[in-house]
Amino acid sequence: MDIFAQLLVNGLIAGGTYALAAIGYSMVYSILKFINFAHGSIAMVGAYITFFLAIQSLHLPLPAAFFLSMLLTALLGISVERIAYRPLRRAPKLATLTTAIAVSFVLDAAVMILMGADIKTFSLPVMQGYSIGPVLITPVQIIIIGASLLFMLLLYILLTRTKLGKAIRAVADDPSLAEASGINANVVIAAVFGIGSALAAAAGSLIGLDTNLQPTMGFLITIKAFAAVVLGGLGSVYGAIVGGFIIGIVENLGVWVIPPVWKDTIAYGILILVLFVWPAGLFGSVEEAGVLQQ
Amino acid sequence: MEIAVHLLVLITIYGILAISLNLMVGMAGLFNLGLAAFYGIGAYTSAILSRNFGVPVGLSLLAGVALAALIGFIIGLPTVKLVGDYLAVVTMGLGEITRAVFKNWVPVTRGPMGLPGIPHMSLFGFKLDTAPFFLAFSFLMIAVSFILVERIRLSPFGRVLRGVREDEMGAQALGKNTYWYKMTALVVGSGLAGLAGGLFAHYMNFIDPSSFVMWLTFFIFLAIMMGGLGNNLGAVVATGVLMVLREGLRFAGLPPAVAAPLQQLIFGILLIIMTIFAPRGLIPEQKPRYD
Amino acid sequence: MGHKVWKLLVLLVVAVLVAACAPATPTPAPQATQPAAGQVCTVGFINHLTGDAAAYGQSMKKGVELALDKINANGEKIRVIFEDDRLSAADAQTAFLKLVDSDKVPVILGSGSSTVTLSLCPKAEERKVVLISSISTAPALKQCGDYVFSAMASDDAQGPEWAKVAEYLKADEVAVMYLNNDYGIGVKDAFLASYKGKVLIAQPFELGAKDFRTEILKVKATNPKVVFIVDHVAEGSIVIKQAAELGMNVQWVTDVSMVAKEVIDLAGAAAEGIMGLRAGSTQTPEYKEFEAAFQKKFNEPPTIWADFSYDTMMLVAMAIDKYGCNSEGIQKGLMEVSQSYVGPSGPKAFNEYGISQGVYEWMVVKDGKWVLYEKK
Repeated sequence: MDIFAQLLVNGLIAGGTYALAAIGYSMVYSILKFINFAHGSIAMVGAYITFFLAIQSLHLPLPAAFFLSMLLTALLGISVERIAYRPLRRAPKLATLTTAIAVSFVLDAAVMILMGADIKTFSLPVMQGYSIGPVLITPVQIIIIGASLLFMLLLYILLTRTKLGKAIRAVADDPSLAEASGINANVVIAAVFGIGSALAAAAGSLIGLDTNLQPTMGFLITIKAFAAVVLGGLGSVYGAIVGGFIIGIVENLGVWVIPPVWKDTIAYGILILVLFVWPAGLFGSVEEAGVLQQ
Repeated sequence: MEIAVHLLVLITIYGILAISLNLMVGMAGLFNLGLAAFYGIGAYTSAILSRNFGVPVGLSLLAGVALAALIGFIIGLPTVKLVGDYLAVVTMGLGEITRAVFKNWVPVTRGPMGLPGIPHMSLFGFKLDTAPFFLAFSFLMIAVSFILVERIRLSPFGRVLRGVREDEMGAQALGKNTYWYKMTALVVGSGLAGLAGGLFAHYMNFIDPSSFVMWLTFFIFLAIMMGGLGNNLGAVVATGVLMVLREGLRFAGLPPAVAAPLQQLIFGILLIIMTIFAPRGLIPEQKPRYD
Repeated sequence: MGHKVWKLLVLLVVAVLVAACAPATPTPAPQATQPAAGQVCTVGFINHLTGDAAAYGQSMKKGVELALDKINANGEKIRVIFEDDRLSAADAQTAFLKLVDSDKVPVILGSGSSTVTLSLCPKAEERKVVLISSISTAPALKQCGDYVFSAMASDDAQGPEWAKVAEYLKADEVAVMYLNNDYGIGVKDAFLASYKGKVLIAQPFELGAKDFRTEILKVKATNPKVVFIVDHVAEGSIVIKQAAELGMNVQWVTDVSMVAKEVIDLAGAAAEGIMGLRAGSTQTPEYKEFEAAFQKKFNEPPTIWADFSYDTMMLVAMAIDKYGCNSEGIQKGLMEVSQSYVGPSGPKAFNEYGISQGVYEWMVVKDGKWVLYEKK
């Protein structure tokens, strides 16, 4: 039983990082209906910016570096949208997918040139985690779980209580109708990319704090977040968060009984099973995803 | 220049993959991110049969094609009705699961160590053990694949497929059983990917799981995207252009300190520029005359 | 289909067939002869310079660059062309052919990955180009032939050394954690073959992952006192850290690749007391000199495997000095010069398979540094 509790917490820690990354992914999808394959690379850049500000050059206090990195990464996300995605908004979906993949090549290579390919670490003090009941957990890990819950709450407030949130939902529902009622879709889309990228930076930085940094770390984030988003239902931001936690927990529980080399297999296996039962994911709507029922 | 022959062989092999993906994605709208898995199944099947069981290489190649097609069929049964991004994630998952099998079924695949000493291709007792001979054979294979898929494209079947891609509801309303149309595209496409894999195994004489990663699927996606969706000739030409671009940068004499990542950076930037200026590909799909 | 398309296709067929048939006779191995005395010899280098394993490839590149500074101190003698294998057999082949056909190199400093080196070895033998890897350790390399060398002992040498450590620690039961790739499996198997005690669990984990907590819990559940771990630093340092966070207090013993500063950087205080093997010795004057030179050039302590690639480059330079810039000479030269060579990564004498014999030093982390382990 003790071990089960610890496994569950391990799953929450892994799931928290997937969920954080998945939020931005899902927001972009709900508005533009395209898979932003560069999302993980943007998270990676965010992690490196935090590292650069806090450790490598300016020696800012870690929280300051963390939030400044979220801001800078938001600007990066907005620029990426402006340069690589906006010109293609009316082009076939595959064209945007191509540029997204290309953007991730560019970001990975740029970081490798600027920061080097070697492994970077924040070198935080390492200690045995706090005991909470039978469970051991470290502060960074509590922050990971807490942050994903906090950002979920903030996002909920943003989407339901603010003018921007209403505009975002309007554009997601029907872009042309939203434009007709005086909403500037470009501004809304830029805002979504900004928020999504800032959250990606948070996810990347937290993963970096908990483990380490490598220029290629983005790909894994992209894949796991993608799976979380689809599991939760494309376009459903809350679903993405739930999806992230489910994948994290299932992976960790599964590895207990199955050799860990099959870890990714477990995650994908669950995902595939879920899609057979609920073809639009757990919280997605069938019509919106265009899933055909025969 | 053996390197030119080597690149041409790779282009023909990847070209077959591009034709296969084009049939599935470009023509049938099946967003298949698991291409590398079918490619790997073909490669491992043919390699293991010929290397461990002494099956003649031509026969093992056919077995690889058959197994890849069969697995395409089994996977298709429940997934073909999923569309777009959902199909993408399921096939991506299957791709990663397949690679996990290559990596962890050590007694059969030798896992991460890879399979060395895969026999050369031989044709009617004639061994294709040099790159130029192999190129002639792989060129023949790509020509066959090309003609096969072009025939599908120009047939009434292809017309329905295009209809399904553009407007599935409409096609259904016309009484077409879209499920089986798409299934056929998936099975043929998977078999072709298996063929490419088998060729790769007998050309390299060595395979390991790192040759069947998702990066390759992305690369082929880029090719059919550039070549113009649904355009088979464009897909093959674009595969060649991308390969020459990617490997040609080796000859560019970039400063050695950052050459490798710089090549990747330049490749990415060129792709972005190319896509923005030609979002429908370098050679957009040519509609058959009767359309 | 339009006529144009068919014409184009036919044209392509003809072009390719011509291209294919023209050099149909396999080109006899071009005895890459480069110039006699006084001229620059061009040498190839293939390693993973981008992608997941770039950290190791880039680090080995630094070692080669440092060696070049020394070799070319009095005028340029050797030039190295660096190529990326992207950790893929097909791309490595492209890089190999480019170096051999276009740059006419007689020798290539081969990949850090045993898998990639193995995939290249038939080609190297066929084209009679010397392929010398700094750190490929797969036992299968022994079957490659005369032109393939490795400057690090095979995995089957590291396993027995681990068994000695276990014996010394009087550990009659241990746990093993290993990376699920050619290297990790090789070392694990060699250890299992030579260790007499009981293995509680042999736990694999994946390259490129970042969350090993459940794997660690499985090991912890068997209550081991000593855990042997073979891993790359990127993952291994995370394992040590996460194990500490999960309250696992054991005597760790690592393989050679984890005896690196990255482990201490990440695991901090939790790294104290970890034991590990080091190929070669850090106490020798050769290593101290190398360490100082590396620090001076790159402004950081030596990165992983840089000492091995440094030695590889030095050996190749000595062989070229002796018999000139051609592959036969280099092949012969490497066998001869290596017998007496001692570099920062230790003595490098090649055996009949062209593989250096390992000397291992036992290391331990003390006050945040890897230092020599003092046997009681």
